[in-house]
Amino acid sequence: MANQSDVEVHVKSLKSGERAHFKVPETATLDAVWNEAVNANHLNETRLPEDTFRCADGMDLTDRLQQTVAQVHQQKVCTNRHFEIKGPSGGAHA
Amino acid sequence: MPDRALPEMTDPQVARHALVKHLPGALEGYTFDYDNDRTVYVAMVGATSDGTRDEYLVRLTFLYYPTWPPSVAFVNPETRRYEGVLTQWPRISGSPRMAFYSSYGDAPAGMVCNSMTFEYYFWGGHSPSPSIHWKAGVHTFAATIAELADHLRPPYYVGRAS
Repeated sequence: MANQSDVEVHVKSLKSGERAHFKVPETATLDAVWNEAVNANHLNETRLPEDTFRCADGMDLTDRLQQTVAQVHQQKVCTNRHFEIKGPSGGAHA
Repeated sequence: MPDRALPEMTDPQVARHALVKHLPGALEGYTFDYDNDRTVYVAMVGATSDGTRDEYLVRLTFLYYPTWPPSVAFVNPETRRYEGVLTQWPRISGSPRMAFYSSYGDAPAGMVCNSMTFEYYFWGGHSPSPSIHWKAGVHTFAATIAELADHLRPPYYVGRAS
Protein backbone atom coordinates (compact mmCIF):
# COMPACT_ATOMS: atom_id res chain seq x y z
CA MET A 1 0.00 0.00 0.00
CA ALA A 2 1.39 3.38 -0.97
CA ASN A 3 2.28 5.71 1.86
CA GLN A 4 1.32 9.37 1.70
CA SER A 5 4.98 10.35 1.81
CA ASP A 6 5.94 8.03 -1.05
CA VAL A 7 7.09 9.69 -4.25
CA GLU A 8 7.58 8.26 -7.72
CA VAL A 9 11.11 8.12 -9.08
CA HIS A 10 12.25 7.38 -12.61
CA VAL A 11 15.59 5.70 -13.27
CA LYS A 12 17.10 5.03 -16.68
CA SER A 13 20.06 2.76 -17.27
CA LEU A 14 22.34 4.41 -19.80
CA LYS A 15 23.96 1.02 -20.35
CA SER A 16 20.84 -0.69 -21.60
CA GLY A 17 18.36 2.12 -22.26
CA GLU A 18 15.86 0.40 -19.94
CA ARG A 19 13.75 2.47 -17.56
CA ALA A 20 12.28 1.81 -14.13
CA HIS A 21 9.49 3.74 -12.43
CA PHE A 22 8.60 3.05 -8.82
CA LYS A 23 7.62 4.68 -5.57
CA VAL A 24 9.90 5.15 -2.59
CA PRO A 25 9.51 6.91 0.76
CA GLU A 26 10.77 10.48 0.70
CA THR A 27 13.16 9.37 3.42
CA ALA A 28 14.90 6.89 1.10
CA THR A 29 18.47 7.80 0.27
CA LEU A 30 19.59 8.09 -3.32
CA ASP A 31 21.81 5.10 -2.66
CA ALA A 32 18.72 3.10 -1.72
CA VAL A 33 16.91 4.33 -4.83
CA TRP A 34 19.84 3.15 -6.94
CA ASN A 35 19.84 -0.26 -5.26
CA GLU A 36 16.11 -0.60 -5.74
CA ALA A 37 16.36 0.38 -9.40
CA VAL A 38 18.91 -2.28 -10.31
CA ASN A 39 17.18 -5.15 -8.52
CA ALA A 40 15.42 -7.96 -10.30
CA ASN A 41 12.00 -6.28 -10.04
CA HIS A 42 13.15 -3.34 -12.11
CA LEU A 43 16.27 -2.98 -14.27
CA ASN A 44 17.75 -6.31 -13.21
CA GLU A 45 21.35 -5.24 -13.76
CA THR A 46 24.46 -5.43 -11.63
CA ARG A 47 25.60 -2.30 -9.83
CA LEU A 48 29.32 -2.02 -10.48
CA PRO A 49 31.88 0.02 -8.51
CA GLU A 50 32.62 2.16 -11.57
CA ASP A 51 28.98 3.01 -12.21
CA THR A 52 27.68 6.45 -11.35
CA PHE A 53 24.25 7.79 -10.41
CA ARG A 54 23.20 11.14 -11.75
CA CYS A 55 20.31 13.41 -12.65
CA ALA A 56 18.82 13.14 -16.11
CA ASP A 57 20.54 16.43 -16.98
CA GLY A 58 23.91 14.80 -16.30
CA MET A 59 24.56 16.25 -12.83
CA ASP A 60 26.65 13.74 -10.90
CA LEU A 61 25.18 12.62 -7.57
CA THR A 62 28.13 10.68 -6.20
CA ASP A 63 28.54 13.10 -3.30
CA ARG A 64 24.82 13.04 -2.48
CA LEU A 65 24.12 9.32 -2.32
CA GLN A 66 23.49 9.41 1.41
CA GLN A 67 21.01 12.26 1.09
CA THR A 68 17.31 11.49 0.95
CA VAL A 69 14.98 12.03 -1.95
CA ALA A 70 13.30 14.80 0.05
CA GLN A 71 16.62 16.52 0.83
CA VAL A 72 17.80 16.71 -2.77
CA HIS A 73 14.37 17.89 -3.84
CA GLN A 74 14.56 20.70 -1.29
CA GLN A 75 17.97 21.60 -2.72
CA LYS A 76 16.37 21.91 -6.19
CA VAL A 77 18.42 18.99 -7.44
CA CYS A 78 16.75 16.55 -9.88
CA THR A 79 13.42 18.13 -9.07
CA ASN A 80 11.59 15.93 -11.57
CA ARG A 81 13.10 12.86 -9.86
CA HIS A 82 14.47 11.50 -13.13
CA PHE A 83 17.77 9.74 -12.52
CA GLU A 84 20.29 7.87 -14.66
CA ILE A 85 22.79 5.10 -14.08
CA LYS A 86 25.90 5.51 -16.15
CA GLY A 87 28.49 2.82 -16.71
CA PRO A 88 32.16 3.54 -17.35
CA SER A 89 33.64 3.98 -20.80
CA GLY A 90 37.01 5.04 -22.07
CA GLY A 91 38.68 6.66 -25.02
CA ALA A 92 41.10 9.32 -26.06
CA HIS A 93 41.37 12.53 -24.08
CA ALA A 94 40.01 15.48 -26.00
CA MET B 1 43.79 -1.93 -42.67
CA PRO B 2 42.42 -2.32 -39.14
CA ASP B 3 44.76 -2.90 -36.21
CA ARG B 4 43.66 -6.50 -36.05
CA ALA B 5 41.39 -8.85 -37.93
CA LEU B 6 37.79 -7.75 -37.92
CA PRO B 7 35.35 -10.12 -36.24
CA GLU B 8 32.82 -12.14 -38.13
CA MET B 9 29.74 -10.08 -38.93
CA THR B 10 26.61 -10.84 -36.97
CA ASP B 11 23.93 -12.77 -38.80
CA PRO B 12 21.93 -9.92 -40.38
CA GLN B 13 18.66 -11.20 -38.98
CA VAL B 14 20.11 -11.33 -35.46
CA ALA B 15 21.57 -7.85 -35.78
CA ARG B 16 18.33 -6.41 -37.12
CA HIS B 17 16.33 -8.06 -34.35
CA ALA B 18 18.62 -6.68 -31.63
CA LEU B 19 18.67 -3.22 -33.16
CA VAL B 20 14.88 -3.02 -33.40
CA LYS B 21 14.50 -4.35 -29.86
CA HIS B 22 16.88 -1.74 -28.43
CA LEU B 23 15.78 1.16 -30.57
CA PRO B 24 12.97 2.52 -28.34
CA GLY B 25 15.16 2.71 -25.24
CA ALA B 26 18.12 4.16 -27.08
CA LEU B 27 16.40 6.76 -29.24
CA GLU B 28 13.42 7.96 -27.25
CA GLY B 29 13.16 11.69 -27.84
CA TYR B 30 15.42 11.71 -30.91
CA THR B 31 14.51 12.17 -34.53
CA PHE B 32 15.87 9.23 -36.46
CA ASP B 33 15.47 7.20 -39.62
CA TYR B 34 16.04 3.45 -39.78
CA ASP B 35 16.70 1.94 -43.20
CA ASN B 36 15.40 -1.48 -42.08
CA ASP B 37 18.79 -2.99 -42.73
CA ARG B 38 21.16 -2.18 -39.86
CA THR B 39 21.74 1.52 -40.45
CA VAL B 40 20.17 4.28 -38.37
CA TYR B 41 20.55 8.01 -38.95
CA VAL B 42 20.08 10.13 -35.84
CA ALA B 43 19.71 13.91 -35.73
CA MET B 44 21.76 15.24 -32.84
CA VAL B 45 22.35 18.78 -31.63
CA GLY B 46 25.55 20.20 -30.18
CA ALA B 47 24.86 22.91 -27.61
CA THR B 48 27.50 25.22 -26.18
CA SER B 49 27.37 26.99 -22.86
CA ASP B 50 26.63 30.29 -24.63
CA GLY B 51 23.52 28.87 -26.28
CA THR B 52 24.88 28.12 -29.75
CA ARG B 53 23.21 25.08 -31.29
CA ASP B 54 24.68 23.07 -34.15
CA GLU B 55 22.85 20.28 -35.94
CA TYR B 56 24.55 17.03 -36.91
CA LEU B 57 23.55 13.79 -38.57
CA VAL B 58 25.03 10.69 -36.97
CA ARG B 59 25.12 7.40 -38.84
CA LEU B 60 25.10 4.21 -36.78
CA THR B 61 25.71 0.87 -38.49
CA PHE B 62 25.13 -2.44 -36.79
CA LEU B 63 26.99 -5.05 -38.80
CA TYR B 64 28.59 -6.60 -35.71
CA TYR B 65 25.84 -5.80 -33.22
CA PRO B 66 25.09 -6.71 -30.46
CA THR B 67 28.35 -8.57 -29.92
CA TRP B 68 30.11 -5.30 -30.70
CA PRO B 69 28.93 -1.70 -30.50
CA PRO B 70 27.71 0.12 -33.60
CA SER B 71 30.03 1.94 -35.97
CA VAL B 72 29.56 5.68 -35.62
CA ALA B 73 30.21 8.44 -38.13
CA PHE B 74 29.09 12.01 -38.61
CA VAL B 75 27.80 12.39 -42.15
CA ASN B 76 26.59 15.00 -44.60
CA PRO B 77 22.95 15.63 -43.62
CA GLU B 78 21.99 16.15 -47.27
CA THR B 79 23.61 13.11 -48.85
CA ARG B 80 23.87 10.98 -45.71
CA ARG B 81 27.35 10.02 -46.85
CA TYR B 82 30.53 10.15 -44.85
CA GLU B 83 32.76 12.78 -46.41
CA GLY B 84 35.38 13.37 -43.75
CA VAL B 85 34.54 17.07 -43.78
CA LEU B 86 35.67 18.77 -40.59
CA THR B 87 32.61 20.99 -40.24
CA GLN B 88 30.31 17.95 -40.25
CA TRP B 89 32.03 16.79 -37.06
CA PRO B 90 31.89 18.26 -33.56
CA ARG B 91 34.79 19.67 -31.58
CA ILE B 92 35.03 18.98 -27.86
CA SER B 93 37.47 19.90 -25.13
CA GLY B 94 38.35 18.47 -21.74
CA SER B 95 36.84 15.00 -22.02
CA PRO B 96 38.74 12.17 -20.34
CA ARG B 97 36.96 9.52 -22.40
CA MET B 98 36.06 10.64 -25.92
CA ALA B 99 37.59 12.34 -28.93
CA PHE B 100 36.25 12.99 -32.44
CA TYR B 101 38.35 12.57 -35.57
CA SER B 102 36.79 13.35 -38.94
CA SER B 103 39.49 11.12 -40.44
CA TYR B 104 41.71 8.67 -38.64
CA GLY B 105 44.33 6.50 -40.30
CA ASP B 106 42.70 3.73 -42.28
CA ALA B 107 39.41 3.90 -40.41
CA PRO B 108 36.77 3.96 -43.16
CA ALA B 109 34.61 6.75 -41.72
CA GLY B 110 36.53 8.71 -39.15
CA MET B 111 36.69 7.82 -35.49
CA VAL B 112 34.62 8.51 -32.44
CA CYS B 113 37.24 7.38 -29.97
CA ASN B 114 35.23 5.82 -27.16
CA SER B 115 34.72 2.24 -26.06
CA MET B 116 31.01 2.36 -26.92
CA THR B 117 31.87 2.51 -30.65
CA PHE B 118 33.10 -0.25 -32.97
CA GLU B 119 35.98 1.78 -34.41
CA TYR B 120 37.60 2.14 -31.00
CA TYR B 121 38.45 -1.57 -30.90
CA PHE B 122 39.79 -2.03 -34.43
CA TRP B 123 41.42 1.21 -35.55
CA GLY B 124 42.34 3.00 -32.36
CA GLY B 125 45.27 0.84 -31.26
CA HIS B 126 43.61 0.35 -27.89
CA SER B 127 43.78 -2.41 -25.30
CA PRO B 128 40.91 -1.39 -23.07
CA SER B 129 40.59 -2.61 -19.49
CA PRO B 130 37.64 -4.94 -18.83
CA SER B 131 35.84 -2.25 -16.85
CA ILE B 132 35.34 0.00 -19.88
CA HIS B 133 34.90 -2.72 -22.50
CA TRP B 134 31.61 -3.11 -24.38
CA LYS B 135 29.74 -6.05 -22.85
CA ALA B 136 27.23 -7.84 -25.03
CA GLY B 137 24.12 -8.57 -23.00
CA VAL B 138 24.75 -5.58 -20.75
CA HIS B 139 25.27 -2.70 -23.14
CA THR B 140 22.95 -1.71 -25.93
CA PHE B 141 23.49 1.19 -28.30
CA ALA B 142 21.72 3.34 -25.72
CA ALA B 143 25.18 3.55 -24.16
CA THR B 144 26.64 4.83 -27.44
CA ILE B 145 23.94 7.48 -27.78
CA ALA B 146 24.36 8.50 -24.13
CA GLU B 147 28.09 9.07 -24.59
CA LEU B 148 27.52 11.12 -27.72
CA ALA B 149 24.83 13.17 -25.98
CA ASP B 150 27.09 13.80 -22.99
CA HIS B 151 29.76 15.20 -25.31
CA LEU B 152 27.45 17.38 -27.36
CA ARG B 153 26.69 19.65 -24.42
CA PRO B 154 28.63 21.59 -21.78
CA PRO B 155 31.18 21.20 -20.43
CA TYR B 156 32.70 19.36 -23.41
CA TYR B 157 31.06 20.67 -26.56
CA VAL B 158 32.89 23.63 -28.13
CA GLY B 159 31.37 23.90 -31.62
CA ARG B 160 31.90 22.56 -35.09
CA ALA B 161 35.34 21.31 -35.96
CA SER B 162 37.26 23.62 -38.25
